[in-house]
Amino acid sequence: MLWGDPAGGKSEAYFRAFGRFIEGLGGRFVTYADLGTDDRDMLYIRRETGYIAPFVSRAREESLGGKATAHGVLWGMRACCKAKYGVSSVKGRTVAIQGVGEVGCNLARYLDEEGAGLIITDIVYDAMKRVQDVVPSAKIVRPDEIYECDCDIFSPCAFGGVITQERAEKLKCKIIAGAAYDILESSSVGDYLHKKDILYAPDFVISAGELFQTSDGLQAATEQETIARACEIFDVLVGVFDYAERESMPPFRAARRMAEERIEHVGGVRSILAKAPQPEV
Amino acid sequence: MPENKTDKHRILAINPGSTSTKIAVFDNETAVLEETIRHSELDLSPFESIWDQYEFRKKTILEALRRNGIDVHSLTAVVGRGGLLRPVVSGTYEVNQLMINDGREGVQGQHAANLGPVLAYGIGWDFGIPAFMVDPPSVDEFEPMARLSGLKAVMRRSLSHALNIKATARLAAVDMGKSLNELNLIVAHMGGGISVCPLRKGRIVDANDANSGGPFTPERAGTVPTMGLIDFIFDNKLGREEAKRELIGHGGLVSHLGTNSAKEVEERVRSGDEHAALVYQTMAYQIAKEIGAMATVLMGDVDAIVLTGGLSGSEMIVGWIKERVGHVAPVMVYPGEDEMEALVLGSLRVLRGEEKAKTYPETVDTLPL
Repeated sequence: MLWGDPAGGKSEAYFRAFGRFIEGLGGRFVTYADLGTDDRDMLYIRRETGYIAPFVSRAREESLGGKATAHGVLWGMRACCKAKYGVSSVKGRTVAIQGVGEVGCNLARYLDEEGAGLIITDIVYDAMKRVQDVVPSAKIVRPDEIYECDCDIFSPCAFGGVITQERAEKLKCKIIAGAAYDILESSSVGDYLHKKDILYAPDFVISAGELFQTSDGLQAATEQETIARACEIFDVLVGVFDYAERESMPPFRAARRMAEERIEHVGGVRSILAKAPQPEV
Repeated sequence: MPENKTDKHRILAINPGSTSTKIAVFDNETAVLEETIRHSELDLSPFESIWDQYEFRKKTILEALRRNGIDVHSLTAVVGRGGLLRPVVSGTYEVNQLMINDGREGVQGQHAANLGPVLAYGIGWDFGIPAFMVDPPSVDEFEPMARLSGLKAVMRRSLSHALNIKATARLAAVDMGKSLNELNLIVAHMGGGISVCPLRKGRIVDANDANSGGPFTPERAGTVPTMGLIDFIFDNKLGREEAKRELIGHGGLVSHLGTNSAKEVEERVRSGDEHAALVYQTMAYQIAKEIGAMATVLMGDVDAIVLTGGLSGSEMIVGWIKERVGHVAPVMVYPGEDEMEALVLGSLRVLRGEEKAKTYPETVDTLPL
């Protein structure tokens, strides 16, 4: 991860150095555009390495990425409802969305179409207005009120680290399912949620929708393919919940273990062919 | 919320018009910034509806504050002019979601002023300060008989220049050394639209609805004979919006004299244009007639007649009106209008604890019939 101030710390050399570093990892790491980067930055990286997610313009990526992630979260919520209520539908449920930027706004629209009630918050009013212009029934609450509001599903779609022990104690929801990364302050908070019977959909599973913009082989997927594949998150999460129940552990721990097992299994695969000798230059 | 009158409040007032957004910043009662931000046709052309102009107008407001060296973090409250909302009692309201939804839907029509509350709310939210709306045009304190027309399906609506009317009435009360709620006044706001309202103990108990009736104005038709109006619309095969445009915008002085400029008409009158004189004097005649009608609403118990708005700066108009209504009650004249100050004063009354902010929509007991 590059961590810095996009307003002053970016340059061609900075991103090309990053590209060379990634190239040196030989495909063990693939990068892609995210917060604070633009098309030019990605072009600089691409000059040094091919290990970069398919290049799409930032505008398209934000638009499609937002939709794909929101679709993934919606399917994840359905999986959570199936596990919690026995019905894989959000109809009639109240969902509190924290952060209604690109992803949260799309998610709000999809949830409204599915018949869910909405509570939204954001630090910027304009983002909420955009939601309310489409879904006038969406209720607005202050950012610090979102943790205590009456809802079935709490959906953090803004920043990480928002679920602290103190906030976890206030939550009235039965499910946490959102697009933000690393929303748990610590694993112990995840264990507490499990004890409190709040089903937490692991963030790195439910927020994976935008990764489907890339098909196998680092080729760009079409919008239709991306959206269609985002529904796979439903099956993955059902698998995680089944594993967690079988092993009597919180789903976030189950998801980690499943990921570790997969890495271990794939890492153990050996090729029977020797690598072709590289021509001398 | 501070309640001490000596506390300093810095209030941003926002008044969106069709092609401009007026803003003002007041430190208590003192204006430190007043600016009219003009929006060209090109600026507004990308937006399908007035409501869609929200982010554009908000950006221009914040830019204007920055350009004038006003730190937005120094604001303690923001107030927006109210639009065509639900009928409500007079007062200062905290902006809430229902008000914003009504502005978006245009419950009594679409108007740039519908953006006032949402602009105030948006800026208030982003900077953590309270957002208010004061005396929208839909202030409704009508008494039951004021609501009926002669056609059951068509009710009379309370729409007026309530913000300036209430503010001017308060000024007049101060000048008379009395409280507004012990006075009976007739206030005529005379501008592009003309509202004539009887205020019984401070409440607007009737009004002509400047878009639908009363005196004709520089650009509105006012009351028109109904049979003639029906023939006019059908003979000219006018659609709903075309008919509205003829009555509001193409009526009054525009219809008779081809201009909405009172200044231009007065020059024509002075230079001997007899037709212009007839039309201009008729406008004053109709205003006086409306004042007379409203005096009957107050059973003739009228403490003062108050003239305000841009046209009250015209000696000609004021003189002609005084000739006809001077016998009813003393005539007090407050030329011009200061909606920005009225918005700020309404907010200050709440911030100082002199008045409790109302929760929208607060309606009078007599609503609905």
